[in-house]
Amino acid sequence: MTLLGEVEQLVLLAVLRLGESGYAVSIRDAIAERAGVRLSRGTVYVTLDRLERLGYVRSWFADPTPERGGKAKRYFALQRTGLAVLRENTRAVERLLQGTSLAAAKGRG
Amino acid sequence: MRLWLHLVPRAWRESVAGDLAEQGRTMAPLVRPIWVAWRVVEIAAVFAADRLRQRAGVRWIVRWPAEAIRDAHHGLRRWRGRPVFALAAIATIALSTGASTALFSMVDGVLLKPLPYPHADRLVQVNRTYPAWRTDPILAPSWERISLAWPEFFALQHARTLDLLAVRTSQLGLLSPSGEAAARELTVAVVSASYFELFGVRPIAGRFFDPRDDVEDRRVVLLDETLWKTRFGGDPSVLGRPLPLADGTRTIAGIVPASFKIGRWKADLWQPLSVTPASRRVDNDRNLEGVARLRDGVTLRQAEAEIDAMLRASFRYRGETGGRLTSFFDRQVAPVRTALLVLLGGALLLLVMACANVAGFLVGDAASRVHEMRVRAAVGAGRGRVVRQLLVETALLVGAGGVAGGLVAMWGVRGLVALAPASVPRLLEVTLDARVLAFAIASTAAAALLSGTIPAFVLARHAAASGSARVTSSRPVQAKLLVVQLAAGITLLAGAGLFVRTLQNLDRVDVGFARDHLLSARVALPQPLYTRPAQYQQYFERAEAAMAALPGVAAAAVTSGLPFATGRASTTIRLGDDAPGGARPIEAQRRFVSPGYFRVMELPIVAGRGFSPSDPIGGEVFAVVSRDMARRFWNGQALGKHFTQGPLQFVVVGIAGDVRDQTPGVEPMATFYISTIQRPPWPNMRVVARTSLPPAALASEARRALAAIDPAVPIENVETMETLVTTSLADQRYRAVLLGSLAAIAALLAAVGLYGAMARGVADRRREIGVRLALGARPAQVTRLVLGEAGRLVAIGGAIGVLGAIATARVSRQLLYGVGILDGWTLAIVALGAAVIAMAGGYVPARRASRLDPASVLRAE
Repeated sequence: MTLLGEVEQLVLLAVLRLGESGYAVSIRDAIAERAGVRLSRGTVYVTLDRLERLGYVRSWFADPTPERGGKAKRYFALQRTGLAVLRENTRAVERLLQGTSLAAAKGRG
Repeated sequence: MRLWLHLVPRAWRESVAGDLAEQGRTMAPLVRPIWVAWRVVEIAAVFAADRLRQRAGVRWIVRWPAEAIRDAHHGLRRWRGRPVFALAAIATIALSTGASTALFSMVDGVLLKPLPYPHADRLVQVNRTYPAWRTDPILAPSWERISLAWPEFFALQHARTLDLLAVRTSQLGLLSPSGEAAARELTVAVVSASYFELFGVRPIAGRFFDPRDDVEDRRVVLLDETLWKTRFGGDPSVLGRPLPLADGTRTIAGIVPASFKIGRWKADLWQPLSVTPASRRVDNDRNLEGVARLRDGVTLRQAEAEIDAMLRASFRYRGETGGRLTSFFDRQVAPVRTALLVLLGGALLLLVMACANVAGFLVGDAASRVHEMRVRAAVGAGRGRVVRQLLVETALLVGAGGVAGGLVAMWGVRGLVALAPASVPRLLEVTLDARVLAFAIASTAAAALLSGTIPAFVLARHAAASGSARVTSSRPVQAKLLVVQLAAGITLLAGAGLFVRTLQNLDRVDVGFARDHLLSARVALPQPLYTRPAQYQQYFERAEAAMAALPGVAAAAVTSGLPFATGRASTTIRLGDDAPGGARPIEAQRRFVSPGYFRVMELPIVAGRGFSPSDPIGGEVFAVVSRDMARRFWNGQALGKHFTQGPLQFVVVGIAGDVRDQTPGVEPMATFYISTIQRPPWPNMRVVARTSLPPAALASEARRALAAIDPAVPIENVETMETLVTTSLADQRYRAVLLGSLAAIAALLAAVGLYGAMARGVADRRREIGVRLALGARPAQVTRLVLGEAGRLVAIGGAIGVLGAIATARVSRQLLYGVGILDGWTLAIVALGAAVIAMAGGYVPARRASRLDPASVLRAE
């Protein structure tokens, strides 16, 4: 099983949520709104780049619009391998958590 | 934005651009581009860092700085715990980098920077040559340095290879007394109109000259800014006002900036050439200094060929003549180049020595750190890591030393400039600028590498050694470092010794007269008031009497040329038929003196007689010739011989001793003296007095007494002969003092380095020494053992150092006087210095070694 980094996991989950309409800006906003994590733009781009190279997501260009200064938009969507990796990683975390309760647990000082 | 986008990988450019455009829509149009550019850079940086992180080989770019910061903290803690060592190292580095930087800034300002004039690399000095002088032993050095005369100036203006030609000459002017201010002599520069354009000078107010002023006399003058401020209060309305001068009134046309100097030369007033048809008939002055700018693309040789041909074709009086061009820059700086480079070399040698010194201490320190290093090695720090750590720690010390060295350099430069003798040009351009800063940083970095690399590798080697192996401090490495220090130190000592000896030798030269207790003053009789020779005679008779009448003065006289004060003035005379070799023209120096001159100067008359107040006027003129002149032209039998100059007939009545009149190192010149009784003095003479009291004490009295004769006559340069001679040796003194200072620091460093090494050596060999003492060795033998080792190292280092000194002597041979490489005294100084270093460094450890209690040493093992 390949381990995902935390940032990679967040980005993949955001792509999952947004279906076929995820692009850099909306992915970043989604992570900020739902997860409360503020990633820098550069991190998002670099992570998407890496995920695409690994084959977990694929991207395509939509038509350019005047709002974007005549530049095309790049959309991202989850690939089957990406979905599989995501499932594996989240299940691993769930299995470790099973039987414990983060709410009741106490840490050592 | 388009520009910044190129920092982002190509595949992402469009979407990044679009995304940012979309998000920046709502921004104010002024802010948007800035925000977008900032975001693009931010994104590109993340891409770049990611790329770097992926490439394993380049990972160190990110890792090393983080480790270095950690090492720096560690190092600070370490040095804080050993303040004495740290401060000593910092001081050592500070002194040596400071000295090097200070000297470099001098070299940079004087030798390296281009001159501050437009197209300065194309400026050349224009001279005439007179090949016939090459065979004359006195005049030979000047055969291609002859100044121009105005006909040559006008002729050369047509030269095709020259862009611009200008000339300058100086003369004396007079500022009349006004109110409390006494009459003052001024330096007046007479220049062609092209002069200011050549040097890129613009008037502060008013105008400069135009080409009409070269050939017309429009009675104009320019004021120097300083004179304008002091005499006229900087009042702008002086323009157009008349200025009464010696040769008539001139109108003030402009102000020349005070910052305009050529080397050390400056003028108070500026007048145009004004070579009018009337003056052309009379004037044949040959003292115009010519400076020109080569046309773009023309080489010096090409222009010189043209100038030479032009002069050769047009001006042939007295025989063959030609032209010579020399780079203006070279003329300004060539005289001081060797000396400055030798001084810089000395400072750099000191820096190398300081690095070896610090390195030696660090190596010696290594033994105490081995345990720490072995722990590090055990947890996986590789050799490279250990080396890097030690380099960082060393860099902290050396860096601090470099910063302190900056302070040393600041004061050093100020001192160097303040004490610099008159021969050093361009002192205003010696500043601590960016280039000097770059040198300081580079030399500090080099010092850090030099000091740190060897100890770092030594320590890394120890750390890598297997667990319980006993560590001895690396004696061979320390010995080599010590030898380097000693060699450098001996070189510096010997080099300084050469220059100090040179100064001593020059100071002891017999100048031919008694130079103590002599006071002199220069008087230049101003033109409109004094025009007839009889007036000159009368004035100087009164001046001589006034000086002689002063209490504390034994006798007084006047002369047209005072040794060490007046420059050489050669003139042509024609030997009579009674000269061996026959009648012919020769060059000799001429001096007009009053009869008391020889007595006042204590200049011996070795044959015949001097002058007397009762010498007849009219008829043959009596001449006293110098011994050199008698030998050169009459085989020593000069008495009764004849020579002529124009209509005048001379007969030799006496031979006087030779006088060194320029600097003590320059050979005397053939000179003949004429009595002011028989021929009238010039308007420009020196009054000189032999005093029974210290002459400096009489200076103000003398000035007052002379000024009382005629307040309108300026009295200048009231000084003692000792001062004049001392000033003539200013160059040699500067070098000797600077090199001596470097040598003193070096000797101290060498002694400290030797002491440290010896002390550690004794500490390391405690056991061996303990055993020896227990077996019956006497303490004296132990002392001898330790000192012997010190002595051996000093001998090796000294031998190398002497080689270095020989090299120095060869390089600087034109700067030395009376010292050969194997100069007995210098070698003695070096040997003594080496012995002192050995004793100073080795003595205490040797004593301590001999006092070891063998029982306690052996027990401790």
